[in-house]
Amino acid sequence: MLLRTSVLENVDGSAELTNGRTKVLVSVSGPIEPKIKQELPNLASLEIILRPSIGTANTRENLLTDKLRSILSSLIIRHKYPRQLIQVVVQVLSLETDAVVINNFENTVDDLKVFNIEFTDIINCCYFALLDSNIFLYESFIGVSQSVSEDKSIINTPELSDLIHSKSHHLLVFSIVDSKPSKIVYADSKGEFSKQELFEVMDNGFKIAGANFTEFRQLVEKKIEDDFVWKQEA
Amino acid sequence: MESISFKPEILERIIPDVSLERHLKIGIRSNQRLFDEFKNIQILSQKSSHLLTTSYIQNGNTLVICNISYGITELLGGETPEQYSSVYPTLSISRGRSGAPTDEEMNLSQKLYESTLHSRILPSNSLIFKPKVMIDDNLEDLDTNKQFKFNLFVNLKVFDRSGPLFDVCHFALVTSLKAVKLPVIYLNDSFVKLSIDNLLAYPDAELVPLRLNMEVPLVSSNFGLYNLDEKNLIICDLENESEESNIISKVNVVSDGKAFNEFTLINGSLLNITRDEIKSLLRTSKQRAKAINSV
Amino acid sequence: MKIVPGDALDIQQMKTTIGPGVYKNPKTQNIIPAAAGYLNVKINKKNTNQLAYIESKSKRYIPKANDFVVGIVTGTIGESYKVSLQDFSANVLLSMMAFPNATKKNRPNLKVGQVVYARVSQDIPEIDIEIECIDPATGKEGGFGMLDESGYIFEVGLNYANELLFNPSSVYLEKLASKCKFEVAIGLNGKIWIKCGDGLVYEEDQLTEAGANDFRYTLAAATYLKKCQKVPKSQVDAVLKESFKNL
Repeated sequence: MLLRTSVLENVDGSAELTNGRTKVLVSVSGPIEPKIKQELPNLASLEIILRPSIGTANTRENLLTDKLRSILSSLIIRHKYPRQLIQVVVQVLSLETDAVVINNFENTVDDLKVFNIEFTDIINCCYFALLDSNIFLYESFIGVSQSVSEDKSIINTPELSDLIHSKSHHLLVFSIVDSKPSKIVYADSKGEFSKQELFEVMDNGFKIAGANFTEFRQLVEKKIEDDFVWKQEA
Repeated sequence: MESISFKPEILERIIPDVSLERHLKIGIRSNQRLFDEFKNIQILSQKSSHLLTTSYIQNGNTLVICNISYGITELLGGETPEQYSSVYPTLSISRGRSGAPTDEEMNLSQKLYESTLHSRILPSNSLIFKPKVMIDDNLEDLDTNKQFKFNLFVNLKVFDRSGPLFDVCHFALVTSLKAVKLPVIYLNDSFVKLSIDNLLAYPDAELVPLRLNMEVPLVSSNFGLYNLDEKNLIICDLENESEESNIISKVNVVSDGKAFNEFTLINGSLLNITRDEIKSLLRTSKQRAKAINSV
Repeated sequence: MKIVPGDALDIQQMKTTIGPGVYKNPKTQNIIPAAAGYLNVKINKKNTNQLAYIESKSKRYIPKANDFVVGIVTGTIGESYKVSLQDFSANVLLSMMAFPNATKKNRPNLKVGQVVYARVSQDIPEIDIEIECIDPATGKEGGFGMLDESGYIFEVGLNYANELLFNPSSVYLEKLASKCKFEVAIGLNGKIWIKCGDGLVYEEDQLTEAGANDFRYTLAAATYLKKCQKVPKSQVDAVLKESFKNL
């Protein structure tokens, strides 16, 4: 995973995350002055704009935006910014399915895209962009994706080919307290699975989230040092 | 200062969060249901013809009309369809307004599309066919390599919305799919070119029921989790504005009574949700699916 | 110590004053870190009181009472000027009475586009924020007021503006003084107004030679200060040299 923060000059916070063939760029502006119809009297309103790598946003992006909104609004301390607007723009720069689009199997693409392979990368990129913008968060958070193949083995961070041949796939977002996964903020499991499989996936997700956050934390600490270069000893 | 008192229905409109908390504290819901009670869901009527399958579904006071029609596309050479297909839903909620679809309508139709695909209930080869040809008033097999595919269009209309709609729309879609019968498609003249434009549905031949990879209809159930006095209350089948907008930790489970096809959890109020709570949600969903399918 | 949201705030049980980056949940009364940065905890000598805050990078200014800010007048509304502290943020109000010796009849005449150095006097987020150009201790000007148009305004990160304004051992301005004479107003809203020498000086609508030269210095100084927020201390001298190399 590759991460750059503060990549955009004219927004309050931004991050660019590259993970395999998926690359996303997230910008955060806020708290800024909302349009009158967006204004809420006692908390910040959240505007999320998601732009796909190819074409324009359609119902798929609309649903993704909706999911993203429910995740972010539970983690951002919105009561801290009454009557303000926080605008999050997610630009997907490249996606594993792009190659399929370019190869022109148009009608199968819709089916491939519903796996939402970029979802966890968007979530994680939002985390860094929000930290970069200094928007207050209740807790840190991390997204992980898994799939269960026909032989019941769990694959961490599956690629498109794994997903196509999987029996079920699972997206999980955990909140992080003291560098350890704490609560399940979001879970989306689809396919065919048993209760036992669901719990196995949650346990495994919990473990990967903890391991991945160690890396996240290092990235954030490096970022903090860069933000305060003048504090570093010459 | 003088205190003003409001009737419960008015309080629910002006301060829904307070109204909800007061109700839950004394162990009741504003819609008079028990915490673990679901609204009744039933098929009022269902009809299939060679053009259209129509179902009327009632869920509490909400009525959903589901129409499934079809179109035909030709599978181009080299194109290998995925193993499972989905349907193309459009949905409208009647609220006495017109205009562009709302976010809720768009998201629901997209959810139904994704749900049908990921639940793997609709095998692609149930939709693929080779047309017949009409020779001397008889339908005969046509010798061709060309393949065609039915595309199912689902049109849902919702009346009297009173809560989240995914459950009822999903039920309407799945039960209607069960009832879909596809016609025999034929070329009415063996001398014309084999293309979509020249294909017809044969009204007199017996309709073929759509083959699904689903023994019993899948059932979707929704739950809300609400923290009251440090404990999580599980509330089944949210209804009314006060519950829908103030219970923001929600779970949706799709089950056929044996295994699960979907589990979505949105923990809007960052609750500590225990494994036992999840287990109980899964158990309830399974039982509900069994109960509905045994009727 | 570096801290991120979700970490336990490792502080002792005593009367605590919280500063930036720390949030108190009004329902549970829990104090949590809500931003990523350096945690600072300062305990008073009597060991009865502590201050906890997080230093974090930010570009978006949220007005806090007693902050010094550089604002641009964007219009008038009733008895007040509308002042912009940052693009896309809500305007704040500067009462025409909030100047030393201002009366109903004798009030300042500010035009749209003019710049003031002011203090945030009221910061309730639910209503309009107010600023004033009076030193509350003396009731006099105290360095606040209109900033003249011969200077130059540029923007920096809020944490850097804070460092420049409040850290007495910060070397940046001291080093700049070795190159030229300057006047500076640092706003905690990330806007810095600077003028070297006499700034832009016009004679009969013509920029004077001295004015042009002073302005070159002003721009070089702005470039230098902007660049310094991204380089380690060891390179500051090199940046200073680079910024002023053509002068």
